[in-house]
Amino acid sequence: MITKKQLAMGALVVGLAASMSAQAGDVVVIVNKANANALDKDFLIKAYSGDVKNWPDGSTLQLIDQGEENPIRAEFDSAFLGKQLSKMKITWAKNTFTGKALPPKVVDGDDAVKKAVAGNKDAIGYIGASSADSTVKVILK
Amino acid sequence: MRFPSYRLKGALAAAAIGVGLHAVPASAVDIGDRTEIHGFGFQGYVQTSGNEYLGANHRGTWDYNTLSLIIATKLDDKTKLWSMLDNNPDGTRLGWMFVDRQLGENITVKAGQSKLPWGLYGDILDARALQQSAVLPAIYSDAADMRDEAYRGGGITYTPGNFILEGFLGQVVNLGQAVDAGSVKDRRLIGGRATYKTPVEGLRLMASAFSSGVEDTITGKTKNFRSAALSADFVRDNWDVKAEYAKKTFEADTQGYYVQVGYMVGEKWTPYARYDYIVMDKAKKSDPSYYQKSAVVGIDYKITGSVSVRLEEHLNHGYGLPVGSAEVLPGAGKTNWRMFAASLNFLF
Repeated sequence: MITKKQLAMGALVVGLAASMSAQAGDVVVIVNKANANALDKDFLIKAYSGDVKNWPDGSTLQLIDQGEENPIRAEFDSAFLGKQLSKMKITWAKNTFTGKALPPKVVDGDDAVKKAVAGNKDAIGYIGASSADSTVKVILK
Repeated sequence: MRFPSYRLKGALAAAAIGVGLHAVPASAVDIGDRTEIHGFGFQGYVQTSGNEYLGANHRGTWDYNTLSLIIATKLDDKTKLWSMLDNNPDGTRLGWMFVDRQLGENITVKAGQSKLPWGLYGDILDARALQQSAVLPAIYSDAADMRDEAYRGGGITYTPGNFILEGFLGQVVNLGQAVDAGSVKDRRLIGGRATYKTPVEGLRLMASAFSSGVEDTITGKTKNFRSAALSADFVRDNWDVKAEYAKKTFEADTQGYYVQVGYMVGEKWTPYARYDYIVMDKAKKSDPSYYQKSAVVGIDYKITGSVSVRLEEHLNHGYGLPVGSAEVLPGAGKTNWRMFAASLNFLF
């Protein structure tokens, strides 16, 4: 027989686990190793909201998102952009339907994102912290 | 170009909904690296208890729909060609077509035909999936004629800090609005919109205004059409709160405002409510033929992330909008009446 106290503890554990899964430490933002631009969270939010299209040095941002079904996408949206995945989808739909900006290119899986970023000087993406290696530069975590 | 039949249009809509139901990500149709096709649409139903409005009466109408395709082609890293085709009960039309180019970190310029950035919804008028209700607030109605839908000319967007500043200059393009296109020509236009993302997370404030010169083809005289809107938008957690006030000065002074609140329950359901007020002619503000107060309640259900269904009820006092749309004559309408609206909204 499960008591109310056990249920409450269980709910607390689930809640803590859920909140920990959205911590920024699990996801890191990566750029090409040759990219010398500085980047802070405000710039990242503007970039992934379509409000900024260029790097500070004038080159064009090449945004990379992971697939919607991949949990890292929701983690990134929540931890770095401060929004739910559904809200980000609406933001990009508005950008598209007003001719403001096209959504980021979807590249699924940490390895594929690393490869895409390593191969494009202007690309920016995100991967799980444990996947980071010397092929890319971690710029935010 | 017109679609040959409603059967084809229905098939296209069904295909679009099918694409949406399969939860395709934002980049729905990607033709190579340079061109993407996106789209949105809705099929609505409207029924009124008394006055005719939006083509509906007590028997209701399904003639309330739009299907839009957006084609974006990257000409180079900093330049894109955008175009949008709309199909609605009035036929198929070019909603916009323009070239934009990034000039720097914060500046984009564009030239061509664009939707008019006015208020929260001016540039997404037909994209019901991105709105909260099945029928837009009164200040956006064609009947109120408070804003033009599109312009042909040039525009600039500058995004310093937490601001988005947009300016535009050109000529009005009427896309089947209430303005009598036969009596006017050469509507030169200038305007802008400023958006401020406040330090309060999720809160945006906005001011939009434009002025256009309307030349009467009979008298040859030019009158100024001026319109402005102040908007506040708060979207955070499960809340979506919007409020706008708008005023137009032309042959009659029109003003209106609304407050709309929605709250998402769980992942699927969003009940919402709105209070909407408009006076079509301030000089006749106590005549129910020229004002309308509406209490709106509704609910949105997300079938998938890209498809939703919406039901809403409007309790109206006054019939300014049916008179404004010329569906009811002044003095001949019902002062207290209801309207039911439903819509299936999708994007892909």
